[in-house]
Amino acid sequence: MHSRNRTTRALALLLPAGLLGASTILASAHATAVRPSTATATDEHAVERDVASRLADIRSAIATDLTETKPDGNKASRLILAWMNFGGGFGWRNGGWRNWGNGWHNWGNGWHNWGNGWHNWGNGGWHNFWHNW
Amino acid sequence: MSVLPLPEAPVADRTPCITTVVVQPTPFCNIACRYCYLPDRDSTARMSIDTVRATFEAVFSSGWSLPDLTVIWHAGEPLVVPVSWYQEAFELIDALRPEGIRVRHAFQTNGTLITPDWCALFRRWEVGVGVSIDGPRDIHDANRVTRKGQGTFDKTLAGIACLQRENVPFHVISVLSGPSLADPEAMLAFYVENGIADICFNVEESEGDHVSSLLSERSAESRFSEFLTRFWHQSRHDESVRFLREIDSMIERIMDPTHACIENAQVQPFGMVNVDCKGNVSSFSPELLGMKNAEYENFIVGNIHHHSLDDMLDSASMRAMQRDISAGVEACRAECAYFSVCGGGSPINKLTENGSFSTTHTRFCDLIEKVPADIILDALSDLERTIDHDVPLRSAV
Repeated sequence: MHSRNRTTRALALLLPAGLLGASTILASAHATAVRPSTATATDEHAVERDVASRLADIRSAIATDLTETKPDGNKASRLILAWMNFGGGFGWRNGGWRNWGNGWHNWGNGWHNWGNGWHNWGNGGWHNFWHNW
Repeated sequence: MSVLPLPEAPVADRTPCITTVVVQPTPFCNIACRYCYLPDRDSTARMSIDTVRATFEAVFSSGWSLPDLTVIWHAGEPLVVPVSWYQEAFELIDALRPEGIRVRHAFQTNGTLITPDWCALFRRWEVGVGVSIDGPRDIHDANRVTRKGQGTFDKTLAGIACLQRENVPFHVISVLSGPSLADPEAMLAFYVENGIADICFNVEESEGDHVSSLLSERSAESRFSEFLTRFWHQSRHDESVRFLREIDSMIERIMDPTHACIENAQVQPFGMVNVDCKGNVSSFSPELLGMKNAEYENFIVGNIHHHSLDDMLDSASMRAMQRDISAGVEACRAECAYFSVCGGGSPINKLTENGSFSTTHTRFCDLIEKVPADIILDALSDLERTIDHDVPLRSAV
């Protein structure tokens, strides 16, 4: 069960981080997670319904909560850096992340810092989903 | 609760939105990969500049192009056509381009023919370059071979080195097969050793006449999930990869507000305009161009020298394909939990795997859409739990 507040809090950390930052934060959380033991889902349809509602909840949180209370990107970025380097994340303890040209220094600009060159050629959400380019 | 709407159902009279023009300047390829789906890769026919002119006059005058138009020069091997031909073609397209439309050219190449002259063209026109390389030598050379069966690893890697020396940005596409799936650490080490930071994975698919042995294995989904998870964790931990398409594009589709309501151009008539060297035009999945099929008139909707795009939109083959592809998309919308991140899937995979456009689930969906989405949703849940237990983080956000 995912509460709306929990999802909103996580997204408020991820969205100011940019695509590369969000990918790293999620990888870190995923790699270091201690997951609660849960019963194995045996109903495939129930699992699918859960995925659909989860995706809808995420989009809903993005569409409503986060536009009403836009996250403080600078504040979030400082906390994330502290957490990633010394706390619950990968724990590099080496002074921080590499300075990729289009990634690490794009904190704090709201939603519009998700650029990554060729793979973010806007067009209002159109994708061609073609995997041979 | 307010939920963003899913992509609109396609309607017959909807105005097309051209996102991409895929141009096959020649069907010829200088190598003969064992998993290749291209039926005419031995033909040395070449597109005329008149065909380039007719194509882009039609696209630009249609009013259907989105403001950012991607032009992909693709299959066979686009670099067997000379640099000077592309220079002339690019200048022509630029001269025809209306104000308000930006064009980005892109090549997907096997890399074996890249020279400093090519790099100069890429830089001058800010061309997006994708190189097909499958990983370390033994993995790459198992499938990507010359017509005499010799491996192409050294020539491909030399092409990549040339791009790097000439400061041309590029990404790679690696087709995953059994050996590469088993060793994500070796794959990552290969990319790091060779300075490759933007990575796309394809699984060996069943397309055209090629039947994938990987997709026939029941364990393919779990093996790909394990591979992708380990590769993603390690590459982010090491800060060694800038862009990992299968993960990062899925994060974008799930979480980026500007991408949260997606449209799948591959299922829309003329979302992708695909043109072969003779001016024959197809749409939907670019792989359809060149395949044989009686029901859909070989997937050809017209010829750019003889028909307008309006005529092609109303052609019998376009209407038949649209009818069946739309039926498949609507079935996906009704039954698939992942519809909002894929928009109805890939018609070529439905046709090849299931025998019909009007179907839904494919093994390709399982691997390319569902596996990455599940990984991201799991990771988000893990992050939520972490925040629950981290007082400073929780109070800050």
